[in-house]
Amino acid sequence: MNPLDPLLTSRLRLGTMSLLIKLKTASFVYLKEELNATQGNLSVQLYKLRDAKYIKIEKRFKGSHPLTEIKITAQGVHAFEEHVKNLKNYLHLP
Amino acid sequence: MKTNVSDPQEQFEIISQAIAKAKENLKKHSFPFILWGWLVSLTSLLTYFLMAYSSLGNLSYLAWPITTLLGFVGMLMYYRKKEKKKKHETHIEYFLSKLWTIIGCVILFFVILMPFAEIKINPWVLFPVTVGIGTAVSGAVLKFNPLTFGGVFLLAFPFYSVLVPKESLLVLYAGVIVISYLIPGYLLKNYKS
Repeated sequence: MNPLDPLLTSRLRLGTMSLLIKLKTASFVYLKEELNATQGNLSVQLYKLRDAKYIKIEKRFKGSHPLTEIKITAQGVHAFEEHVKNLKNYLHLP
Repeated sequence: MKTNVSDPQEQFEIISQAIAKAKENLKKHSFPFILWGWLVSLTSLLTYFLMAYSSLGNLSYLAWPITTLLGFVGMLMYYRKKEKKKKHETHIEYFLSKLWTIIGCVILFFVILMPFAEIKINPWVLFPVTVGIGTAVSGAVLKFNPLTFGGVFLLAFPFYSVLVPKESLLVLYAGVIVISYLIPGYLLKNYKS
């Protein structure tokens, strides 16, 4: 059995990846609200995922407001799919 | 709350909960179908009555470019307002926005240039088929059968419309738009996931 990806065993990082897998883009505010996370903690976890090249973080202006957008990368999709496959193996699911 | 989860079962639950949160909200796709449903069906009936009971003749068809432009302005205002509040975008939203932008451009192009074009394309083929394809594809990706059926019914318009007299086409088209756009639009609006 393959070991589970340690990056995805954190509640917040796993939740982030699970949301992003269904979305084209998500704002920082959206992730913070949906995951019930604090700004500081979410930032730290997002940077870890970015450093692993699982997500992309883009900052831009929407009108006069700054906006942070997060997208999952192809590498992130692959890592997430592998993680789910491994979880299924652990749980003996088809 | 512990930050690391080693139990695979618990991890599965986190994934399921998050995926359920990011589920497509069908309701928010209803607006364009309701707006265009009312606009196109009422314009069809208006043109029919103008043709039948006024001396305007073919000038009655001028109602179409006017309401089309009104529709585009309405859409632009609605989506600008939504864009300001938008916090995320699903893959389906992205795909549908590109699909309808292209269809909208094609329609606008023909509405503006058709009177000047040398090769005439029958509008009773062009418009129902173009928007019918868009509607059927929208219904298929949203997995919403009334919309898929509406789209197919609309794009088949050139075939069954030969069964009615030419002067009744506008009334038939109004009815087809009610079935293809308005009914699925309101069903989407009231959809409970």
